[in-house]
Order: sequence, then structure tokens, then C-alpha cells
Amino acid sequence: MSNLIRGLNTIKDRLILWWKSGISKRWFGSNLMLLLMCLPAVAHIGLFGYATLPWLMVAFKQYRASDGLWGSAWVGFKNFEFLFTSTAKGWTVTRNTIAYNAAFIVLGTILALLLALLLAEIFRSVWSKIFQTALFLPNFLSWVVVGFATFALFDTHTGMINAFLTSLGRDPIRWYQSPQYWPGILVSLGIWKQLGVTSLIYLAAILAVDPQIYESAQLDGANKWQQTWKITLPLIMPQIVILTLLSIGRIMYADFGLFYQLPQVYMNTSLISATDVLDTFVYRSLISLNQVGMATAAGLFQSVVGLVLIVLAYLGVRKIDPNRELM
Amino acid sequence: MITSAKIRPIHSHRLQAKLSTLLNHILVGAVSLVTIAPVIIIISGSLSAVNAIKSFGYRPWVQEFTLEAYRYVFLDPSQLLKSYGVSIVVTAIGTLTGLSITAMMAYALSRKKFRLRGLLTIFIFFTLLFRGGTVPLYIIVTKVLGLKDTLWALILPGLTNPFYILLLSAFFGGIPSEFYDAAEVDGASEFAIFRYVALPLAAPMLATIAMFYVLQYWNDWFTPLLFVNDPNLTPVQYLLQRMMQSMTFLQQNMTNLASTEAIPFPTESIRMAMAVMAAGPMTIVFLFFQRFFVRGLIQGGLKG
Repeated sequence: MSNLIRGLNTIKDRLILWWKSGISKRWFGSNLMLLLMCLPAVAHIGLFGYATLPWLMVAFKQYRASDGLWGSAWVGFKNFEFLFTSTAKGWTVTRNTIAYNAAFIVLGTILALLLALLLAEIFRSVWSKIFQTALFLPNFLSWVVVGFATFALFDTHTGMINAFLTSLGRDPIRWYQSPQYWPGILVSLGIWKQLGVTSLIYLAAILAVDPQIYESAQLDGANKWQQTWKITLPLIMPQIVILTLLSIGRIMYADFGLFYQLPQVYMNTSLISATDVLDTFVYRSLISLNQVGMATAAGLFQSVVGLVLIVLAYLGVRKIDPNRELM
Repeated sequence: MITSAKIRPIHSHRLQAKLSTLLNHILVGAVSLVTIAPVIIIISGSLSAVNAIKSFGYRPWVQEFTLEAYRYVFLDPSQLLKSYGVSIVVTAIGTLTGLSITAMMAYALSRKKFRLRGLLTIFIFFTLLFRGGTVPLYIIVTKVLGLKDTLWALILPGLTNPFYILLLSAFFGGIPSEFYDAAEVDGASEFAIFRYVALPLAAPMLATIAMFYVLQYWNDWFTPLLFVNDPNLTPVQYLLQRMMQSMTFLQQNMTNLASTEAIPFPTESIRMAMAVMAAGPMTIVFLFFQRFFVRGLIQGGLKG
């Protein structure tokens, strides 16, 4: 008991000293100020990042705008059940999302690596700066603008590709009415958009490799192919794995613009089966079909699976590069 | 692969090296061409005569050079001007506001003495992992906040990006503490340190993030797609999107159509001209900023 009283007295004395020294005022004052500086951002994230979360409950309800969130009837997993039936095409859409992203990851990585290797070869030349600059441009163009350019390519009557085909004596293809071509088209264009930045990230990694290793390998008689395969690739493998893991973490999320603008699915409904991904599916269910509950269910599904994958990806990345040296 | 100057290749090797370098340049050049292809396509389409396009189709070069498409666009530029106005206002307000609140929070998070640092970092970080998605966003903006068909609906949702906050915060944290300590000794308040020490030192990073914001807001057509129907609030990219959907939208809003002339409405080339008007500003921004990216990215790698 006396120990407790002594302890409390010590604390009291310390507090008085602290208060009197004025350090506390500065500390308190500066912490208060820092907190104030955070408030706008915190308010914004609180609203759009957290206040949106309760509305995910709509996935479990029969939502009516007039009833609001709380008044709408609870229907358990009915929205999810309907989502994964063949009419609602929930599984098709999920499969599309994952398949497209897998193609982006695999093909995108291979092509980015190839391009990065080529860029590393010509790094000293005058042209390389120009090329590297050009590679950034796709990130500055919106998919709407790219959609106009692809329209000039794929339009049945005025498109460049059909003009090329007819000049070869082949029949023109009605691209916007033929779903079978679109996986290829969308994968190509999705890679097109990311190729530049990804290859430059790999280029930076390749350039970071110690040139002396190549010299000694060359002295040992290794040719370029062997050097690439046995030296470069293994040494940049951590970066490759990290980027790949991060991409896998986002495998449930698609680039809405790519899948909405390019096939112009708002006009060409026949293409939906081949091009629909979770993001466009949620949008359409909400806006066109007014199936709010099912749209939310799909979104919740996407976010939950996405969360698991992203967390696993981050853990994987932490394991490879615990001191955050590489990325 | 990066050959050292000390090792002298013999002649046939040198020829082989020259050929492979040439091949390299051609390959990479081809890829670069593909990368900038869309810009080439829309520019050449916009400057081509519509009859040429109707007869032969689009080409990645100019057919029968003419400015008629641009003339029609600027004949009644009211819709385009309105849209540009919206885009500019949204981008300006969004970028300035977003950058300010991002910078303030990033600075606070970088200060070790800030007691709520850990908590707030997790607060932000979590939103990177899990999001509500489109439907909750839609309901919040339209029903709860009642912002459908307003300018705020275009500006508000994109104001913060947790990624930028964390990026900038790491940068602030990397500033040597001597700078901060000196200011503290002088009795500066946290906001003063932020304003007079941290911000100037972080100028390049701030410029980069500002550019990200500009890009985000200028190219955004998804937010208007969700929330805007009013032609007076239609930003440029969304205008383009709706144009693609129906040429009638454009015709309805261009009151001064040259219907008195026999020349038909040059839809094919007008499409491309509008696309050029939409992509133009960001392409100019790109050309202006491009010196920084390449250097930054590569030098980061070379140092490490």
C-alpha cells in the first residue's frame, strides 16, 4: 500500500516537473498542431474510406432507396447466391477478371523484361533517351482517347486493320461484333499501357548489376545469352518476384477503363461475355440493371478476396526484402 | 552485357556487335512507335479530309490535309469550352486542395514526436488493402451527400490517395533531421517548420505528386460517368466518351450547325479532332515533365 502511494507521488512529482518545464506545452502544442494538420485528410479518408464500409451491408439486403440502409430487408446470402447463378454470370466475370490479369502478369512481365534487356544494351546511345521518354506516354492518355484510336483501327468500314486485310485479299472482320478476338485485343492493349513503366523499373534493376561480374564472365568465355540467363536474370529475380507478387495481390481488380471503353460495351453488348470483368459487372449491375444488392455483393466479394490476396502478397514481399532495399 | 572498354573485340565480333546494336535500336524503336501510336492516329485522323476517310478509311498519316474538322469544332465551341472550363476548374481545385491536405498529413506522419503517428498510418494503410467499392461510393455521394450533378461530386472523391500520402511521408522522413532541429531550436511551430523547411526541400516530390493529381483529375471520366448528366458539368474526357456513344449528343449541343451548307457533318474527322483536344493538354504536360521521369527512375537504379 505504501509502495502504491509512493509510486503515485512519484508520478505526481514527475507530472508537475513536466508541466512546469514548459516542454509539455510545446509538446502538447506541436502534437495538437500536427493533429490539426492531419484533420482534412483524415476527414476525407474517414468519409470515403471508412464511412463507405457500412454500406457494404447492402450486399446482404434487398436495398430500396426509400427504405435506406437500415430499413431495407435483410436477405442473408441471397444476393450472393443469385450472383453466382448462370443468369447473373458471377463466376464467368470472376474467371474473366482473374484470367485477364494472369495474362497481364505473365505476358506483361516477359515482354517488359525483354524490352528492359534491349534497353540496357543500348543504354548509352542517343536514341535510348528518346525511346525511354516515349514509353511513358501511355500513362498520360485516358482510355477514352485510346478508345478513339482503337476505333480508327477496328471499325468495320473505316478501320485501318480491315483496310490492311482487304489489301491482302482477305475479308474484313466485324471486330466490334466478334467477341472471340477481344481477349487477345484487350490483353495486348492492357500490356501496351503498362509496358513502358514496368520495363523501365526492370531497366533500373538491370543497370544496378555490377558490370565487373559481366567482365569476369566474359573472360571465362560466356556469351551474351549465357550472361543474360545465368547472371542478369537471377540477380534481378527479387525485383521480378516483388512486382509479380504485388500484381497477384491485385488480381481481383481490373482496369475499368480498358474493359469499358475499348470494346465500347455500352454499345456492343455482344462483346460483354468475353470482356466483362468484376469492375464493369458491378458498374452495369448498379447503373443499368439497378440490381443494387447483387452489385454490392460482387463488390464485396472482390474486396474480400482482394484483401486476402493483397495481405499475402505484402507478406511475401516483406519476406523477400525485409529491409525495403529493393523497392 | 555492358562491355568494358578494356576488352578489345576482334573484327568479326565488332561487326556482329554493330549489327546487334542496330537490331536493338530497330526493335526498341518499333516498340516506342507502338507506344505513341494512338497520338499519331488521332492527330492524322483529325487533319484528314472526311471524304478520304469515308472512302479509304483511317490511316496513321494525314490524307488530304485539311483543317475542316477543327473548323467545325471551333465553329460552335460552346460545348467544348464549357467542358474545358469544367475540366480546368476541377483539375485546379482538386490538385491544389488534394496536394495541400496530402502534404500536411504526410508531414505530420513523418514527425517522430507525433503521438498518433502509428495509429494514423495504419488508418491510412488499411484503405489500401480494403475498399468499399463502387456501390457504397455511389450511394454515399448521391444519397447521403446529395451531390449528384454537382461540381463537388467530381472533385471530392479523388482528393486523397493513401499511396501519395505514404510516399510523401517517406520523403519528408528522409530529410536530415538537422533541418528540422535547427528550426525547432529557433522556436518554430510545427506548421512553420512544415511551411518553411519541409515544403521547399520536398519541392521535386511535390511537383511529381501534383502531376499525378493533374493526370488523375484531367483524365477522369469514371466519376462523371457515375454522377453527372448535366452538359454544363461535363468535363472533356466525359464529353469525348458521350460523343463516342452518340454523335447526336454533340449535335444537340452545337446549336450553330452548318446545316445551311451542303457539306455533311464531318463525323469521322471531328471525332479525331475532339480526341486531340482531349488528349492535347496531358500530352503537353507529358512533354514538359518527361525529362524528370526517366532520369529519376534510372538514376534511382544506378545508385542502388
